[in-house]
Formats: sequence, C-alpha cells, structure tokens
Amino acid sequence: MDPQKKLRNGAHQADDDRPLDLNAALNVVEAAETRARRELRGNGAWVYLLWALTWLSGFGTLHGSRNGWIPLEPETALTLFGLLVAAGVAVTIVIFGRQGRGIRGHSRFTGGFYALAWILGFMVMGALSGTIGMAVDDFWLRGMLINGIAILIVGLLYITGGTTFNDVVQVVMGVWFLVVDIASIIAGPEHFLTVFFIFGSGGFFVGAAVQALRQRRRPTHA
Amino acid sequence: MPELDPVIHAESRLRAITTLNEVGERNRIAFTKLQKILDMTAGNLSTHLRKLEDAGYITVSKTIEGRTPATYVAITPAGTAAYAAYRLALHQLLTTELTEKP
Repeated sequence: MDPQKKLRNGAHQADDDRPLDLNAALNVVEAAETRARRELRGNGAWVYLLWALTWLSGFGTLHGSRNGWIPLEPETALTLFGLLVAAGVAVTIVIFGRQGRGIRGHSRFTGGFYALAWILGFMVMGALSGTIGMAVDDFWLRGMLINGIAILIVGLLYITGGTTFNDVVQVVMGVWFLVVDIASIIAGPEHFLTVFFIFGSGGFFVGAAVQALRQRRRPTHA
Repeated sequence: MPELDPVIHAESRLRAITTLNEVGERNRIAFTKLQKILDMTAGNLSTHLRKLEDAGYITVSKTIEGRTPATYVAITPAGTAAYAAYRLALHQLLTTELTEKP
C-alpha cells in the first residue's frame, strides 16, 4: 500500500514496529498532529459560522420587523430570535460535548467551569432582563439595554476563553463584540439592530474565515 | 549526530505519542477515543502502548465509568521530554541531510 495512503486511512498492522526513514517520520508526525488537533479541539470555524448565521438571521428578523421590510410584529420577531439563539446554543453544546468526551483532567476542569460561567452569566442576564422589562416601557429601548448586557457577557467570556485556551482569534472577537456593543448603544434604540445585524454577524463571519485559514496553515516543525 | 529514540521511532508508537503529546500531560484520554483517533485495532494499540509504558513515557490507568470499566492513557513528564528530544533530533537530522545533499 502507498505509505501516504496508509497514513491517511490508518490501516496499521503489527508489522509497523520497524524504524522509519526521516522524511516518513516527519510525515507521520504531521499527519498525527493534524488528526489529533481536529479530533481534540474540533473546528472552531464551524462554531463561528453557526453563530454568524444565527445572528444574521436573528438580528436580521428583528431589524426587518423594526424597519418594516419583514411583515412581522416585533414580539413575533423577538420570539423567532429567541428560538434561533436557543437552537444555536443546543448545537454548540452538542459540538463541544462530543469534543470533550473521553478526556479527563485539566481540560475537563477548565472547559466545565468555562461552560458554567456562560450559564451563570446568562442567568444573571435573565434576572436583569426581568427588572428592565418592568422598568422600561419602550420595546426597542428595552431590547437595546438587554441586548447590551448580553453582548457584554459574550464579549468578556470570549476574551476569557481566548486567554484560557490560548486562542488569539477568540480574544480579538471578544474585543470586537465589546466595541460593537458600545457602538450599538451610541447608535441608540433606533439603530442598534442595524449595528448588530451588520457588524455583529460580520465579526463572526470574519472570525470563522480566519480560524479556518489558521487551522489549514498551522505549521508543524520537526 | 543525534540519535532517534528507538522506543518512539516506529510508526505506530510515533503516532500514539504525538497524539498523547497533543492531549497534554495534565489530561488523560480514553483508550477507545485514542483508538478511534489512531485508527488502530485494540490489540495493536495495546502492544505499542505497553512499550511506551515500559519506557516510562506514558501511564495507563483503569477506572469504572457508571458500570463499565474504562482505560485512560496519559503522557508522563518523561514522555513529554523524550518526545521533545525526538522532535529536536529529527529536525537536526533532516537539516543535516538537506545541507549534505549535493
């Protein structure tokens, strides 16, 4: 069998105890590293793409309802947005759950508490949303304030995740989301959805593209 | 000239220790997950893991998950050091081979 093909399809038998030549050893290392990284760390680009599409369609629906180019009541658009985000969360949990299965130790500890930070952060946001809902009558001002808190949590946890897991793309995305959050608050209740529709989902699209390129080009040194 | 560690310098063990190095010293990986990543039979993988374990490069521990016995594998600090030395030696040998070519 062609050695490269053998490496790719993993048809390894007990006779592979023999020493390798140097170039074959380097090929073995590169193929094993690539496979291990894909299996252990997953492909973050797909998760970013998932959220780019979730935000594009979710904020797009709200934006369309707000500006009258989608014939939906704001409350219906908000329900659709909530369902899209819930679906995105469910798919993300499945992806990271599969990735972490069969691993014990430090990664499980950090991953578990990082997930818990997301849950607790959004529980706090839920509690605050209730109070804001009672205190603020205007639908869009209420939406802007609640969204502003949600994106604050997202941005801070992206930076935390990026520094914990040594992922510079995640850190930059966290910073970007906080900048977009500030911009959306400055834009006000009239335009905050436009800012998120374009620059929020845009940040995820760019993050997905950069992550995909990084994973393809990640160098391996002998 | 640097020498390549014969325990590591065989295809299956090189693939196994490269994967375990990616998992990291502070983590353990389930035998079944490692087997899936490496696409090896259980018997073949066990044979090679035993050689790495005998060299002190990995540890193999057994546990119970629910009601099912599970085996976990981890690279040791000695294994991480041996793998780093192997990579360095391989790099030096490849560089020498390249510079000596007419």
